Amino acid sequence: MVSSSKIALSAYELVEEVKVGSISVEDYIASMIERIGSMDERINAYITLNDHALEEARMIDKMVKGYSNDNGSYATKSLLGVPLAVKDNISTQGIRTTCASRMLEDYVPLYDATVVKRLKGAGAIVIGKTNMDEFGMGSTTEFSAFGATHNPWVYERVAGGSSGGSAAALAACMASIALGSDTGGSVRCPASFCSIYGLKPTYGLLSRYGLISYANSLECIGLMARSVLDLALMLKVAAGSDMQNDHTSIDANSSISLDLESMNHDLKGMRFATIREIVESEGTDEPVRDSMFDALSSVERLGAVVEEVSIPSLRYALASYYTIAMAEASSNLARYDGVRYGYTAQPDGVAWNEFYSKIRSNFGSEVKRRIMLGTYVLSSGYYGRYYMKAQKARALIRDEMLKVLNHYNAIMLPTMPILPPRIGERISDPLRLYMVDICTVIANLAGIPALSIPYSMYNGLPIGVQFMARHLDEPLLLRIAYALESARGDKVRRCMI
Amino acid sequence: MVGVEEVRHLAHLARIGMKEEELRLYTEQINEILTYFNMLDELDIGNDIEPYRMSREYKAMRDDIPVAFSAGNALSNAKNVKGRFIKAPKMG
Repeated sequence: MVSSSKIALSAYELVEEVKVGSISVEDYIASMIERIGSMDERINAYITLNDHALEEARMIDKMVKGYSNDNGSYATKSLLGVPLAVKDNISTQGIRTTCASRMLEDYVPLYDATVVKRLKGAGAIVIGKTNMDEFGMGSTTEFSAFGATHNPWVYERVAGGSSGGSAAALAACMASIALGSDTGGSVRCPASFCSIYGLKPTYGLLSRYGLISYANSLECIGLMARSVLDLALMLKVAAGSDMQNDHTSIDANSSISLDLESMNHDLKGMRFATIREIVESEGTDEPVRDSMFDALSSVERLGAVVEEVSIPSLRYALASYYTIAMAEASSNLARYDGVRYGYTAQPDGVAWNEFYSKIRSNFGSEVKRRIMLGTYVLSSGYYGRYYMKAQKARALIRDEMLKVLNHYNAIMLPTMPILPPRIGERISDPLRLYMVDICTVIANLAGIPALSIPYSMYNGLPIGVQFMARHLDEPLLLRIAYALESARGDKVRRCMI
Repeated sequence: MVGVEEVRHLAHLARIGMKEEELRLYTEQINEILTYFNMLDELDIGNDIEPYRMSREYKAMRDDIPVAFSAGNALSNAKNVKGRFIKAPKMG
Protein backbone atom coordinates (compact mmCIF):
# COMPACT_ATOMS: atom_id res chain seq x y z
CA MET A 1 0.00 0.00 0.00
CA VAL A 2 1.01 3.59 -0.63
CA SER A 3 1.54 6.02 2.27
CA SER A 4 -0.91 8.85 2.87
CA SER A 5 1.71 11.44 1.91
CA LYS A 6 2.03 9.75 -1.50
CA ILE A 7 -1.75 9.70 -1.92
CA ALA A 8 -1.66 13.49 -1.63
CA LEU A 9 0.92 13.91 -4.43
CA SER A 10 0.03 16.27 -7.21
CA ALA A 11 -0.58 14.66 -10.59
CA TYR A 12 2.70 15.86 -12.09
CA GLU A 13 4.70 14.52 -9.13
CA LEU A 14 2.88 11.20 -9.36
CA VAL A 15 3.56 10.89 -13.11
CA GLU A 16 7.29 11.43 -12.53
CA GLU A 17 7.36 8.65 -9.93
CA VAL A 18 5.33 6.31 -12.12
CA LYS A 19 7.62 6.85 -15.10
CA VAL A 20 10.79 6.02 -13.15
CA GLY A 21 9.05 3.02 -11.62
CA SER A 22 9.23 4.17 -8.00
CA ILE A 23 5.45 3.90 -7.59
CA SER A 24 3.38 0.96 -8.82
CA VAL A 25 0.17 2.27 -10.35
CA GLU A 26 -1.66 -0.84 -9.17
CA ASP A 27 -0.63 -0.13 -5.55
CA TYR A 28 -1.55 3.51 -5.96
CA ILE A 29 -5.03 2.85 -7.35
CA ALA A 30 -5.62 0.09 -4.77
CA SER A 31 -4.67 2.50 -1.97
CA MET A 32 -6.97 5.15 -3.34
CA ILE A 33 -9.87 2.72 -3.62
CA GLU A 34 -9.22 1.68 -0.02
CA ARG A 35 -9.18 5.33 1.02
CA ILE A 36 -12.50 5.91 -0.75
CA GLY A 37 -13.87 2.85 1.05
CA SER A 38 -12.95 4.27 4.42
CA MET A 39 -13.86 7.93 3.86
CA ASP A 40 -16.62 8.20 1.33
CA GLU A 41 -19.40 6.87 3.51
CA ARG A 42 -19.26 10.24 5.29
CA ILE A 43 -18.44 12.50 2.34
CA ASN A 44 -20.53 10.85 -0.41
CA ALA A 45 -18.41 12.15 -3.26
CA TYR A 46 -18.79 9.09 -5.48
CA ILE A 47 -21.88 7.54 -7.04
CA THR A 48 -20.12 4.71 -8.92
CA LEU A 49 -16.54 3.35 -8.89
CA ASN A 50 -14.83 1.98 -12.00
CA ASP A 51 -14.62 -1.82 -11.61
CA HIS A 52 -11.81 -1.93 -14.16
CA ALA A 53 -9.53 0.69 -12.57
CA LEU A 54 -7.11 -1.89 -11.11
CA GLU A 55 -6.94 -3.77 -14.39
CA GLU A 56 -6.08 -0.52 -16.22
CA ALA A 57 -3.45 0.23 -13.57
CA ARG A 58 -1.80 -3.17 -14.08
CA MET A 59 -1.57 -2.50 -17.82
CA ILE A 60 0.30 0.74 -17.16
CA ASP A 61 2.69 -1.00 -14.77
CA LYS A 62 3.40 -3.54 -17.50
CA MET A 63 4.16 -0.75 -19.98
CA VAL A 64 6.58 0.92 -17.58
CA LYS A 65 8.36 -2.38 -16.88
CA GLY A 66 8.63 -2.98 -20.63
CA TYR A 67 6.38 -6.07 -20.55
CA SER A 68 4.04 -4.76 -23.22
CA ASN A 69 4.69 -3.90 -26.83
CA ASP A 70 3.91 -0.18 -26.68
CA ASN A 71 7.47 0.67 -27.81
CA GLY A 72 8.00 3.00 -24.89
CA SER A 73 5.16 5.35 -25.84
CA TYR A 74 4.20 5.55 -22.16
CA ALA A 75 7.05 8.02 -21.68
CA THR A 76 5.12 10.63 -23.66
CA LYS A 77 1.90 10.23 -21.67
CA SER A 78 1.57 13.26 -19.43
CA LEU A 79 -1.08 11.82 -17.07
CA LEU A 80 0.32 8.30 -16.79
CA GLY A 81 -1.42 6.44 -13.97
CA VAL A 82 -3.22 9.51 -12.60
CA PRO A 83 -6.55 8.73 -10.86
CA LEU A 84 -9.27 10.85 -12.46
CA ALA A 85 -12.71 11.53 -10.95
CA VAL A 86 -15.41 12.26 -13.53
CA LYS A 87 -18.65 14.11 -12.83
CA ASP A 88 -21.61 11.85 -13.39
CA ASN A 89 -23.04 13.86 -16.30
CA ILE A 90 -19.99 13.14 -18.48
CA SER A 91 -20.27 9.95 -20.53
CA THR A 92 -17.92 7.08 -19.71
CA GLN A 93 -18.07 3.97 -21.86
CA GLY A 94 -19.18 0.98 -19.82
CA ILE A 95 -19.42 2.94 -16.55
CA ARG A 96 -22.87 3.92 -15.24
CA THR A 97 -23.60 7.61 -15.78
CA THR A 98 -26.63 8.81 -13.81
CA CYS A 99 -26.58 12.64 -13.75
CA ALA A 100 -27.48 11.97 -10.09
CA SER A 101 -31.04 11.36 -11.30
CA ARG A 102 -33.48 8.50 -10.82
CA MET A 103 -34.26 9.01 -14.51
CA LEU A 104 -30.83 7.63 -15.47
CA GLU A 105 -30.09 5.47 -12.44
CA ASP A 106 -28.95 2.49 -14.53
CA TYR A 107 -27.85 4.18 -17.77
CA VAL A 108 -24.52 2.92 -19.16
CA PRO A 109 -23.08 4.98 -22.07
CA LEU A 110 -21.80 3.28 -25.20
CA TYR A 111 -19.00 5.79 -25.71
CA ASP A 112 -16.59 8.08 -23.87
CA ALA A 113 -16.95 11.85 -23.93
CA THR A 114 -14.17 13.37 -26.08
CA VAL A 115 -12.51 14.97 -23.04
CA VAL A 116 -12.55 11.65 -21.14
CA LYS A 117 -11.11 9.89 -24.19
CA ARG A 118 -8.30 12.46 -24.42
CA LEU A 119 -7.40 12.22 -20.71
CA LYS A 120 -7.47 8.41 -20.83
CA GLY A 121 -5.28 8.56 -23.94
CA ALA A 122 -2.74 10.51 -21.89
CA GLY A 123 -2.70 7.71 -19.30
CA ALA A 124 -5.30 8.87 -16.75
CA ILE A 125 -7.40 6.18 -15.04
CA VAL A 126 -11.06 6.92 -14.37
CA ILE A 127 -11.46 5.97 -10.72
CA GLY A 128 -15.14 6.75 -10.44
CA LYS A 129 -18.15 8.94 -11.19
CA THR A 130 -18.92 11.76 -8.83
CA ASN A 131 -22.01 13.11 -7.15
CA MET A 132 -23.69 16.31 -8.34
CA ASP A 133 -26.91 18.24 -8.32
CA GLU A 134 -29.33 16.38 -10.57
CA PHE A 135 -28.49 17.23 -14.22
CA GLY A 136 -26.21 20.00 -12.90
CA MET A 137 -29.07 22.07 -11.52
CA GLY A 138 -27.97 23.47 -8.19
CA SER A 139 -25.13 25.11 -6.27
CA THR A 140 -24.78 22.77 -3.29
CA THR A 141 -24.89 19.09 -4.46
CA GLU A 142 -27.93 18.59 -2.26
CA PHE A 143 -30.33 18.08 -5.20
CA SER A 144 -28.97 14.58 -5.87
CA ALA A 145 -31.00 11.37 -5.99
CA PHE A 146 -27.99 9.80 -4.22
CA GLY A 147 -27.92 12.15 -1.20
CA ALA A 148 -25.89 15.31 -0.52
CA THR A 149 -22.10 15.47 -0.74
CA HIS A 150 -20.49 16.72 2.49
CA ASN A 151 -17.65 19.22 2.56
CA PRO A 152 -14.46 17.35 3.57
CA TRP A 153 -13.20 20.39 5.51
CA VAL A 154 -16.37 20.77 7.61
CA TYR A 155 -18.73 17.82 7.32
CA GLU A 156 -21.96 19.64 8.17
CA ARG A 157 -21.40 22.14 5.37
CA VAL A 158 -22.16 21.66 1.67
CA ALA A 159 -19.35 20.95 -0.81
CA GLY A 160 -20.82 23.43 -3.30
CA GLY A 161 -22.29 22.47 -6.61
CA SER A 162 -23.16 21.25 -8.93
CA SER A 163 -19.78 19.45 -9.31
CA GLY A 164 -19.59 18.92 -5.52
CA GLY A 165 -18.52 15.27 -5.69
CA SER A 166 -15.52 16.03 -7.90
CA ALA A 167 -14.36 18.89 -5.64
CA ALA A 168 -14.84 16.90 -2.42
CA ALA A 169 -13.05 13.86 -3.89
CA LEU A 170 -10.05 16.04 -4.77
CA ALA A 171 -9.96 17.89 -1.44
CA ALA A 172 -10.08 14.59 0.46
CA CYS A 173 -7.41 13.01 -1.80
CA MET A 174 -9.83 10.45 -3.18
CA ALA A 175 -8.67 11.42 -6.71
CA SER A 176 -5.70 13.35 -8.12
CA ILE A 177 -7.52 15.33 -10.81
CA ALA A 178 -11.20 15.71 -11.67
CA LEU A 179 -13.65 16.75 -14.35
CA GLY A 180 -16.72 18.82 -13.63
CA SER A 181 -19.10 20.84 -15.75
CA ASP A 182 -19.83 24.54 -15.43
CA THR A 183 -23.10 26.04 -16.66
CA GLY A 184 -23.27 28.99 -14.26
CA GLY A 185 -20.44 28.30 -11.82
CA SER A 186 -20.76 24.57 -11.18
CA VAL A 187 -16.99 23.95 -11.29
CA ARG A 188 -15.89 27.17 -9.60
CA CYS A 189 -18.38 27.14 -6.71
CA PRO A 190 -17.40 23.71 -5.33
CA ALA A 191 -13.74 24.45 -6.08
CA SER A 192 -14.02 27.53 -3.87
CA PHE A 193 -15.95 25.75 -1.09
CA CYS A 194 -13.49 22.80 -1.06
CA SER A 195 -10.25 24.81 -1.46
CA ILE A 196 -9.07 23.50 -4.83
CA TYR A 197 -8.60 25.00 -8.32
CA GLY A 198 -11.56 25.02 -10.71
CA LEU A 199 -11.32 26.21 -14.31
CA LYS A 200 -14.27 27.04 -16.55
CA PRO A 201 -12.58 27.23 -19.95
CA THR A 202 -13.52 29.51 -22.84
CA TYR A 203 -16.76 28.27 -24.40
CA GLY A 204 -15.69 26.03 -27.26
CA LEU A 205 -12.17 25.27 -26.05
CA LEU A 206 -13.11 21.82 -24.73
CA SER A 207 -15.47 19.55 -26.61
CA ARG A 208 -18.91 19.08 -25.07
CA TYR A 209 -19.36 15.78 -26.93
CA GLY A 210 -20.50 13.26 -24.32
CA LEU A 211 -21.47 15.89 -21.76
CA ILE A 212 -25.16 15.22 -21.08
CA SER A 213 -26.91 18.43 -22.07
CA TYR A 214 -28.58 20.82 -19.67
CA ALA A 215 -28.04 24.32 -21.16
CA ASN A 216 -25.87 24.01 -24.28
CA SER A 217 -25.13 27.66 -24.93
CA LEU A 218 -23.75 28.17 -21.41
CA GLU A 219 -22.18 24.91 -20.25
CA CYS A 220 -18.60 23.68 -20.57
CA ILE A 221 -16.67 20.72 -19.22
CA GLY A 222 -14.41 22.18 -16.53
CA LEU A 223 -11.10 21.08 -15.02
CA MET A 224 -10.38 20.66 -11.30
CA ALA A 225 -7.04 20.10 -9.55
CA ARG A 226 -5.10 20.66 -6.32
CA SER A 227 -2.25 22.53 -8.01
CA VAL A 228 -1.82 24.99 -10.89
CA LEU A 229 0.62 22.72 -12.72
CA ASP A 230 -1.88 19.86 -12.62
CA LEU A 231 -4.50 22.15 -14.11
CA ALA A 232 -2.10 23.13 -16.90
CA LEU A 233 -1.30 19.46 -17.61
CA MET A 234 -5.01 18.66 -17.90
CA LEU A 235 -5.74 21.66 -20.09
CA LYS A 236 -2.98 20.78 -22.54
CA VAL A 237 -4.47 17.33 -23.00
CA ALA A 238 -8.18 18.18 -22.90
CA ALA A 239 -8.33 21.31 -25.09
CA GLY A 240 -8.86 21.39 -28.81
CA SER A 241 -11.35 21.22 -31.60
CA ASP A 242 -13.52 18.16 -32.09
CA MET A 243 -15.55 17.38 -35.18
CA GLN A 244 -18.10 15.68 -32.93
CA ASN A 245 -18.96 19.05 -31.39
CA ASP A 246 -19.64 21.87 -33.81
CA HIS A 247 -19.10 24.51 -31.16
CA THR A 248 -15.43 23.88 -30.51
CA SER A 249 -13.16 26.73 -31.56
CA ILE A 250 -11.23 25.81 -34.66
CA ASP A 251 -8.19 27.83 -33.74
CA ALA A 252 -8.07 26.74 -30.11
CA ASN A 253 -5.10 24.39 -30.46
CA SER A 254 -2.85 27.02 -31.89
CA SER A 255 -3.86 29.68 -29.35
CA ILE A 256 -3.01 27.77 -26.21
CA SER A 257 0.57 27.64 -25.08
CA LEU A 258 1.19 26.64 -21.51
CA ASP A 259 4.81 26.79 -20.63
CA LEU A 260 4.43 27.28 -16.90
CA GLU A 261 8.08 26.61 -16.16
CA SER A 262 9.05 29.78 -17.97
CA MET A 263 6.34 31.84 -16.38
CA ASN A 264 7.15 34.85 -14.29
CA HIS A 265 6.38 34.57 -10.62
CA ASP A 266 5.21 38.14 -10.55
CA LEU A 267 2.35 40.07 -12.09
CA LYS A 268 4.25 43.19 -13.15
CA GLY A 269 2.48 45.22 -15.80
CA MET A 270 -0.88 43.49 -15.23
CA ARG A 271 -4.06 45.50 -14.86
CA PHE A 272 -7.04 43.94 -13.10
CA ALA A 273 -10.57 45.26 -12.64
CA THR A 274 -12.96 44.54 -9.79
CA ILE A 275 -16.66 45.14 -10.27
CA ARG A 276 -18.20 47.60 -7.83
CA GLU A 277 -21.75 46.20 -8.10
CA ILE A 278 -20.57 42.82 -6.82
CA VAL A 279 -17.91 43.74 -4.27
CA GLU A 280 -20.15 46.30 -2.59
CA SER A 281 -23.32 44.17 -2.76
CA GLU A 282 -25.16 43.50 0.50
CA GLY A 283 -25.28 39.86 -0.56
CA THR A 284 -21.51 39.49 -0.13
CA ASP A 285 -20.53 38.08 3.28
CA GLU A 286 -18.03 40.15 5.29
CA PRO A 287 -15.34 37.41 5.53
CA VAL A 288 -15.58 36.94 1.75
CA ARG A 289 -15.13 40.68 1.17
CA ASP A 290 -12.16 40.74 3.60
CA SER A 291 -10.56 37.81 1.80
CA MET A 292 -11.12 39.53 -1.55
CA PHE A 293 -9.40 42.72 -0.32
CA ASP A 294 -6.54 40.63 1.05
CA ALA A 295 -6.16 38.91 -2.35
CA LEU A 296 -6.24 42.32 -3.96
CA SER A 297 -3.30 43.44 -1.79
CA SER A 298 -1.47 40.22 -2.68
CA VAL A 299 -1.70 40.80 -6.42
CA GLU A 300 -0.68 44.43 -5.94
CA ARG A 301 2.40 43.26 -4.01
CA LEU A 302 3.16 41.02 -7.00
CA GLY A 303 3.14 44.07 -9.23
CA ALA A 304 -0.42 44.25 -10.59
CA VAL A 305 -2.57 47.37 -10.62
CA VAL A 306 -6.18 46.89 -9.52
CA GLU A 307 -8.97 49.35 -10.28
CA GLU A 308 -12.68 49.33 -9.62
CA VAL A 309 -15.11 49.50 -12.55
CA SER A 310 -18.88 49.61 -12.82
CA ILE A 311 -20.96 47.31 -15.05
CA PRO A 312 -24.55 48.42 -14.42
CA SER A 313 -26.09 45.74 -16.67
CA LEU A 314 -24.92 43.05 -14.24
CA ARG A 315 -28.10 43.78 -12.31
CA TYR A 316 -29.84 41.68 -14.99
CA ALA A 317 -27.28 38.87 -15.09
CA LEU A 318 -29.14 36.36 -12.91
CA ALA A 319 -32.54 36.96 -14.52
CA SER A 320 -30.96 36.61 -17.96
CA TYR A 321 -28.91 33.54 -17.01
CA TYR A 322 -31.75 31.63 -15.34
CA THR A 323 -34.26 32.44 -18.08
CA ILE A 324 -31.88 31.10 -20.76
CA ALA A 325 -30.70 28.09 -18.71
CA MET A 326 -34.26 27.04 -17.88
CA ALA A 327 -35.45 27.48 -21.47
CA GLU A 328 -32.62 25.31 -22.77
CA ALA A 329 -33.20 22.76 -19.99
CA SER A 330 -36.88 22.38 -20.81
CA SER A 331 -35.94 21.55 -24.39
CA ASN A 332 -32.93 19.31 -23.62
CA LEU A 333 -34.71 17.27 -20.96
CA ALA A 334 -37.68 16.52 -23.22
CA ARG A 335 -35.72 13.49 -24.43
CA TYR A 336 -36.29 11.58 -21.18
CA ASP A 337 -39.34 9.58 -22.16
CA GLY A 338 -38.51 6.21 -20.58
CA VAL A 339 -38.53 4.42 -23.94
CA ARG A 340 -34.94 3.96 -25.13
CA TYR A 341 -33.06 4.26 -21.82
CA GLY A 342 -33.45 5.32 -18.22
CA TYR A 343 -36.29 4.96 -15.77
CA THR A 344 -39.28 3.22 -17.31
CA ALA A 345 -42.52 1.37 -16.65
CA GLN A 346 -44.56 -1.35 -18.35
CA PRO A 347 -45.92 0.25 -21.57
CA ASP A 348 -48.66 -2.28 -22.39
CA GLY A 349 -52.12 -0.77 -22.45
CA VAL A 350 -50.90 2.69 -21.38
CA ALA A 351 -51.50 5.78 -23.54
CA TRP A 352 -48.43 7.75 -24.65
CA ASN A 353 -49.11 10.99 -22.75
CA GLU A 354 -50.03 9.19 -19.56
CA PHE A 355 -46.88 7.03 -19.77
CA TYR A 356 -44.65 10.01 -20.55
CA SER A 357 -46.06 12.11 -17.67
CA LYS A 358 -45.77 9.24 -15.20
CA ILE A 359 -42.14 8.49 -16.12
CA ARG A 360 -41.19 12.16 -15.93
CA SER A 361 -42.73 12.64 -12.49
CA ASN A 362 -39.49 10.96 -11.29
CA PHE A 363 -37.37 14.02 -11.95
CA GLY A 364 -36.27 15.70 -8.70
CA SER A 365 -37.91 18.89 -7.44
CA GLU A 366 -35.36 21.39 -8.78
CA VAL A 367 -35.32 19.79 -12.24
CA LYS A 368 -39.13 19.89 -12.40
CA ARG A 369 -39.10 23.54 -11.32
CA ARG A 370 -36.64 24.49 -14.06
CA ILE A 371 -38.42 22.50 -16.79
CA MET A 372 -41.74 24.16 -15.84
CA LEU A 373 -40.26 27.66 -15.82
CA GLY A 374 -38.38 26.97 -19.06
CA THR A 375 -41.62 25.81 -20.65
CA TYR A 376 -43.28 29.03 -19.47
CA VAL A 377 -40.64 31.46 -20.78
CA LEU A 378 -40.69 29.76 -24.18
CA SER A 379 -44.47 29.56 -24.44
CA SER A 380 -46.52 31.64 -26.81
CA GLY A 381 -47.10 35.12 -25.39
CA TYR A 382 -44.14 35.04 -23.00
CA TYR A 383 -41.29 34.24 -25.40
CA GLY A 384 -40.73 37.90 -26.31
CA ARG A 385 -41.13 39.16 -22.77
CA TYR A 386 -38.72 36.73 -21.12
CA TYR A 387 -36.58 34.68 -23.48
CA MET A 388 -35.80 37.33 -26.10
CA LYS A 389 -35.26 40.00 -23.44
CA ALA A 390 -32.89 37.60 -21.63
CA GLN A 391 -30.92 37.06 -24.84
CA LYS A 392 -30.68 40.81 -25.41
CA ALA A 393 -29.52 41.29 -21.82
CA ARG A 394 -26.94 38.56 -22.43
CA ALA A 395 -25.60 40.39 -25.49
CA LEU A 396 -25.42 43.64 -23.49
CA ILE A 397 -23.64 42.04 -20.51
CA ARG A 398 -21.22 40.25 -22.81
CA ASP A 399 -20.37 43.45 -24.68
CA GLU A 400 -19.82 45.39 -21.45
CA MET A 401 -17.61 42.63 -20.00
CA LEU A 402 -15.51 42.49 -23.17
CA LYS A 403 -15.15 46.27 -23.12
CA VAL A 404 -13.75 46.06 -19.59
CA LEU A 405 -11.40 43.30 -20.74
CA ASN A 406 -10.17 45.57 -23.54
CA HIS A 407 -8.73 47.85 -20.86
CA TYR A 408 -7.75 45.27 -18.26
CA ASN A 409 -6.01 41.89 -18.43
CA ALA A 410 -8.50 40.24 -16.10
CA ILE A 411 -11.53 40.79 -13.90
CA MET A 412 -11.06 39.84 -10.24
CA LEU A 413 -14.00 38.81 -8.07
CA PRO A 414 -14.90 36.53 -5.19
CA THR A 415 -15.91 33.10 -6.53
CA MET A 416 -18.88 32.81 -4.19
CA PRO A 417 -20.37 35.74 -2.25
CA ILE A 418 -21.06 33.50 0.75
CA LEU A 419 -19.27 30.95 2.92
CA PRO A 420 -20.26 27.29 2.40
CA PRO A 421 -23.76 27.00 3.94
CA ARG A 422 -24.83 24.25 6.33
CA ILE A 423 -26.44 21.25 4.67
CA GLY A 424 -30.19 21.91 4.45
CA GLU A 425 -29.82 25.64 5.17
CA ARG A 426 -30.69 26.98 1.70
CA ILE A 427 -32.37 24.16 -0.17
CA SER A 428 -35.99 25.13 0.55
CA ASP A 429 -35.78 28.62 -0.96
CA PRO A 430 -34.95 28.29 -4.69
CA LEU A 431 -34.72 32.00 -5.51
CA ARG A 432 -32.40 32.69 -2.57
CA LEU A 433 -30.20 29.83 -3.75
CA TYR A 434 -30.05 31.26 -7.32
CA MET A 435 -28.80 34.60 -5.93
CA VAL A 436 -25.45 33.16 -4.83
CA ASP A 437 -24.46 32.51 -8.46
CA ILE A 438 -24.02 36.23 -9.21
CA CYS A 439 -20.20 36.18 -9.34
CA THR A 440 -19.99 33.14 -11.61
CA VAL A 441 -22.83 33.26 -14.21
CA ILE A 442 -21.36 36.31 -15.93
CA ALA A 443 -18.44 34.29 -17.36
CA ASN A 444 -20.90 31.78 -18.84
CA LEU A 445 -23.07 34.54 -20.31
CA ALA A 446 -19.96 36.06 -21.94
CA GLY A 447 -18.34 32.72 -22.89
CA ILE A 448 -15.03 33.81 -21.32
CA PRO A 449 -12.68 31.66 -19.21
CA ALA A 450 -12.75 31.92 -15.40
CA LEU A 451 -10.62 30.31 -12.71
CA SER A 452 -11.37 29.88 -9.02
CA ILE A 453 -8.19 29.91 -6.93
CA PRO A 454 -8.18 28.64 -3.32
CA TYR A 455 -7.19 31.68 -1.31
CA SER A 456 -7.97 31.73 2.40
CA MET A 457 -9.76 30.10 5.32
CA TYR A 458 -12.26 31.69 7.70
CA ASN A 459 -12.94 29.63 10.83
CA GLY A 460 -11.98 26.50 8.91
CA LEU A 461 -14.17 27.39 5.90
CA PRO A 462 -12.44 27.77 2.51
CA ILE A 463 -12.78 31.01 0.51
CA GLY A 464 -11.75 31.27 -3.16
CA VAL A 465 -10.92 34.19 -5.39
CA GLN A 466 -11.86 34.26 -9.06
CA PHE A 467 -10.27 35.71 -12.20
CA MET A 468 -11.92 36.07 -15.61
CA ALA A 469 -10.00 36.79 -18.81
CA ARG A 470 -10.49 37.35 -22.53
CA HIS A 471 -11.54 34.47 -24.77
CA LEU A 472 -8.80 31.81 -24.99
CA ASP A 473 -6.61 33.61 -22.45
CA GLU A 474 -6.41 30.58 -20.12
CA PRO A 475 -2.59 30.91 -20.01
CA LEU A 476 -3.00 34.29 -18.29
CA LEU A 477 -5.34 32.78 -15.67
CA LEU A 478 -2.82 30.03 -14.97
CA ARG A 479 -0.04 32.59 -14.69
CA ILE A 480 -2.00 34.59 -12.11
CA ALA A 481 -2.76 31.42 -10.15
CA TYR A 482 0.87 30.32 -10.33
CA ALA A 483 2.08 33.70 -9.06
CA LEU A 484 -0.38 33.60 -6.16
CA GLU A 485 0.44 29.97 -5.37
CA SER A 486 4.17 30.73 -5.37
CA ALA A 487 3.71 33.78 -3.15
CA ARG A 488 1.25 32.18 -0.77
CA GLY A 489 3.47 29.49 0.67
CA ASP A 490 1.45 27.37 3.09
CA LYS A 491 -1.34 29.87 3.61
CA VAL A 492 -3.93 27.40 2.32
CA ARG A 493 -3.95 23.74 3.20
CA ARG A 494 -4.25 22.32 -0.26
CA CYS A 495 -5.33 18.91 0.72
CA MET A 496 -6.94 17.11 3.64
CA ILE A 497 -4.98 14.04 4.69
CA MET B 1 -49.01 36.09 -11.84
CA VAL B 2 -49.77 32.50 -12.72
CA GLY B 3 -52.51 30.50 -10.99
CA VAL B 4 -52.72 26.81 -10.13
CA GLU B 5 -54.63 26.08 -13.35
CA GLU B 6 -51.94 27.70 -15.47
CA VAL B 7 -49.27 25.66 -13.67
CA ARG B 8 -51.36 22.52 -14.25
CA HIS B 9 -51.33 23.40 -17.96
CA LEU B 10 -47.55 23.94 -17.87
CA ALA B 11 -47.10 20.54 -16.24
CA HIS B 12 -49.20 19.06 -19.04
CA LEU B 13 -47.12 20.83 -21.72
CA ALA B 14 -43.90 19.56 -20.11
CA ARG B 15 -45.48 16.10 -19.60
CA ILE B 16 -44.65 15.96 -15.91
CA GLY B 17 -47.19 14.19 -13.72
CA MET B 18 -47.87 16.23 -10.58
CA LYS B 19 -49.85 15.85 -7.38
CA GLU B 20 -52.12 18.66 -6.17
CA GLU B 21 -49.81 19.66 -3.30
CA GLU B 22 -46.87 19.84 -5.73
CA LEU B 23 -48.91 22.08 -8.05
CA ARG B 24 -49.65 24.45 -5.16
CA LEU B 25 -46.00 24.61 -4.08
CA TYR B 26 -44.76 25.15 -7.65
CA THR B 27 -47.36 27.89 -8.24
CA GLU B 28 -45.99 29.80 -5.28
CA GLN B 29 -42.34 29.29 -6.24
CA ILE B 30 -42.85 29.98 -9.94
CA ASN B 31 -44.57 33.27 -9.11
CA GLU B 32 -41.73 34.30 -6.86
CA ILE B 33 -39.12 33.50 -9.52
CA LEU B 34 -41.10 35.14 -12.37
CA THR B 35 -41.49 38.28 -10.25
CA TYR B 36 -37.71 38.36 -10.09
CA PHE B 37 -37.40 37.77 -13.87
CA ASN B 38 -39.78 40.69 -14.44
CA MET B 39 -36.85 43.04 -13.87
CA LEU B 40 -35.94 42.29 -17.49
CA ASP B 41 -38.95 44.49 -18.37
CA GLU B 42 -37.24 47.60 -17.04
CA LEU B 43 -34.18 46.99 -19.20
CA ASP B 44 -34.13 49.73 -21.79
CA ILE B 45 -32.67 47.86 -24.72
CA GLY B 46 -34.06 49.01 -27.98
CA ASN B 47 -33.96 47.15 -31.25
CA ASP B 48 -30.37 48.25 -31.79
CA ILE B 49 -29.18 45.38 -29.60
CA GLU B 50 -29.23 42.04 -31.32
CA PRO B 51 -30.15 39.12 -29.09
CA TYR B 52 -27.13 36.93 -28.30
CA ARG B 53 -26.50 34.15 -30.79
CA MET B 54 -23.70 31.64 -30.30
CA SER B 55 -23.21 31.00 -33.98
CA ARG B 56 -21.51 34.35 -34.37
CA GLU B 57 -18.16 32.94 -33.28
CA TYR B 58 -18.01 29.21 -33.41
CA LYS B 59 -18.35 27.00 -36.40
CA ALA B 60 -17.14 23.59 -37.41
CA MET B 61 -18.86 21.32 -39.88
CA ARG B 62 -18.16 17.64 -40.38
CA ASP B 63 -19.32 15.03 -42.81
CA ASP B 64 -22.41 13.24 -41.62
CA ILE B 65 -20.97 9.76 -41.24
CA PRO B 66 -23.10 7.31 -39.24
CA VAL B 67 -21.50 5.48 -36.30
CA ALA B 68 -22.68 1.89 -36.21
CA PHE B 69 -23.52 0.15 -32.95
CA SER B 70 -24.50 -3.51 -32.91
CA ALA B 71 -28.20 -4.10 -32.21
CA GLY B 72 -27.29 -5.61 -28.86
CA ASN B 73 -25.29 -2.55 -27.87
CA ALA B 74 -27.80 -0.06 -29.21
CA LEU B 75 -30.58 -1.73 -27.23
CA SER B 76 -28.54 -2.32 -24.08
CA ASN B 77 -30.13 0.57 -22.17
CA ALA B 78 -33.72 -0.20 -23.19
CA LYS B 79 -35.76 -2.42 -20.87
CA ASN B 80 -38.93 -3.10 -22.83
CA VAL B 81 -37.25 -4.95 -25.68
CA LYS B 82 -38.93 -7.44 -27.98
CA GLY B 83 -36.50 -9.03 -30.44
CA ARG B 84 -34.78 -6.19 -32.28
CA PHE B 85 -37.48 -3.69 -31.27
CA ILE B 86 -38.26 -1.46 -28.32
CA LYS B 87 -41.81 -1.60 -27.03
CA ALA B 88 -43.38 1.82 -26.44
CA PRO B 89 -46.84 2.90 -25.26
CA LYS B 90 -49.42 3.46 -27.96
CA MET B 91 -49.73 6.90 -29.45
CA GLY B 92 -52.80 9.07 -29.06
